[in-house]
Amino acid sequence: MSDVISIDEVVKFGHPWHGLYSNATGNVTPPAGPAFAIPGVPPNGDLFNPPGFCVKLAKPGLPAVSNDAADIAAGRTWLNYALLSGGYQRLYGRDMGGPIYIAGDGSAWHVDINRNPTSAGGVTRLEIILNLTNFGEISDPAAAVVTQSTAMVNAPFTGGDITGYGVLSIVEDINENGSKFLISVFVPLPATPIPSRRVLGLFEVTIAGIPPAATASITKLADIIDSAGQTTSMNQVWKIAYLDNNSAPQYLVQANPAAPGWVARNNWRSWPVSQNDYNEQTDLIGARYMAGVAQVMTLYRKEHFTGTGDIAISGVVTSPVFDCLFTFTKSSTYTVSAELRAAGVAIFSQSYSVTASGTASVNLSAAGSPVSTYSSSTIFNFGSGGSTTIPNIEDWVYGQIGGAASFAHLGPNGGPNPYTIFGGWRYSNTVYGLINREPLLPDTPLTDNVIFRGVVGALGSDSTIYAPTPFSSGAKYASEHPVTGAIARDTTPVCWI
Amino acid sequence: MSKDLTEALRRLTEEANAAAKPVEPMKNRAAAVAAKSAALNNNGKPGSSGGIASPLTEVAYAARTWHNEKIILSTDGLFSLKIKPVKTIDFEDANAAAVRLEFKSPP
Repeated sequence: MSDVISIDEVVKFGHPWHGLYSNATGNVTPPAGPAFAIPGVPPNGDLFNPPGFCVKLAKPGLPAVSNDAADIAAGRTWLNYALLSGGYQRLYGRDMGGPIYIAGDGSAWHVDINRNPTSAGGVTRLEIILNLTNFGEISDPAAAVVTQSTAMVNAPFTGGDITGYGVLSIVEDINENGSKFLISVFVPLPATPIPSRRVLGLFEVTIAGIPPAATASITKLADIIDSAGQTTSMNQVWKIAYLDNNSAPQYLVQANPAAPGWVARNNWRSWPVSQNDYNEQTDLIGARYMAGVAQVMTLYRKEHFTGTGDIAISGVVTSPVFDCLFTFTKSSTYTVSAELRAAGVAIFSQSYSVTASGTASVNLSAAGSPVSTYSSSTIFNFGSGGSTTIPNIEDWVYGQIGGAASFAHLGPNGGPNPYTIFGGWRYSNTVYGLINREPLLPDTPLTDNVIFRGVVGALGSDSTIYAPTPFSSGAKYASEHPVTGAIARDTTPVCWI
Repeated sequence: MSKDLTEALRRLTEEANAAAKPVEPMKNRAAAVAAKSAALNNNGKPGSSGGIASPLTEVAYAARTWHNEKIILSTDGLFSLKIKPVKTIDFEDANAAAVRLEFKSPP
């Protein structure tokens, strides 16, 4: 072989088959030239280890590479870096199943990750041992195989007793020389309409040194207790209108309609005059690299009631015959919002709201049953920009406290609030997006249709909002090119190779 | 990209012939007689000028000498191809005369 090489000149060698792979066609569309059938295995993966994974693997100091006319005509694209593609890190048409580590001396090493999430003695840990094997040396006779197992390292995390919960662990992202990578421990939750995963812990593994004297270390970036707590805030001022023993109108204002001291009053009605209530929750959804720095990805959700109102009583006639009129007014908003956050900073957000305003009156007469009159207008503002106004859908009556009627909290309560679900979706190692079950108008049959909204990668973004569709047939696949930032999205797997 | 080994050998042979032949004075046209060519492929008979007689046969693979090993990298740098460039190869021609090819180290 070598005597031939001495006469023939090697202009380029490597793997020139790059472009966007589509599972639907089995073809790769290169940056220039004709599409071609994907060589080797396609990028693999599943819902929680997506096939759109793609990272750049770069060896420092390599010269730029160009493509001549013959290359372009054949669909060849020569690059001075490599791409690890798919959930199992495809390279040169083969799944590597882990990173390739470029050591400080330029040598390349395949990294086989042995990971073991374990619970023992009340402590949950992720244990890591790396097996490093020299990679990519072609010679005659064949280069000697050098292997090294790093000493076991571990990181404790708060995930509860994970025994028997079907815990999985995947590579979330890899830096450009394979010296750092992110891994997760999670429980898959393939629920309808939005599947998700309960991320228990996120970790960064670092390799240092040159095998066979390399070392590994692991750091916990976040665990479920760091971000999953739900916060509820109740901030309400209620007003009660009632008839005292002389049948004269009276008012009390207090933070809680059921608080001590609010004795049952004769024919009272309570009504909130101000409200600022919310529930908020943050969940871990993954981790990625941005310019080589690890980012913990979270989904933040908030339900927020705000509004003002009033209640008045009038038209009282003294005992034994009384006839009184309660009048209610309000203007209130219920907002549901969600944010994708990278390292705590919102990178994409979505919200919708229901705003209601109206008046109501209840006429109480000792001579007969109460006569109620309601008038309201409710506006549904959807995240996609549309809005719908519907009159008279309010259910003003809230319930009974101490045998007397208490009226609704200020938020619109006739809407589809319970039916909306926001979720964060991990399309690939870098691409995250929001999905949600569409808000529904009152009396609309509940469906499991899901809206796939914009996505944000480490470099690029795509603001497309897809029409509601069942999750199974939605555009749940995406891949970001780690150099150009181009993001491809589709209903079937796509991946840059 | 590639160069043909035969072509290289042909050029080497022509150069050797040119060096060995002195320039002869021009002869009268009438004095010209039929003569045999001294080119290669003369069925093993040596040329009158002492050139290389085809075929060349390598003496022994083990006799080759080599330049220092070189590493050729794939464009992405991941794969390294280790080569040992040939420095010399010894041949014998059809008349058992020794012929040595000497190669430069690739840049």
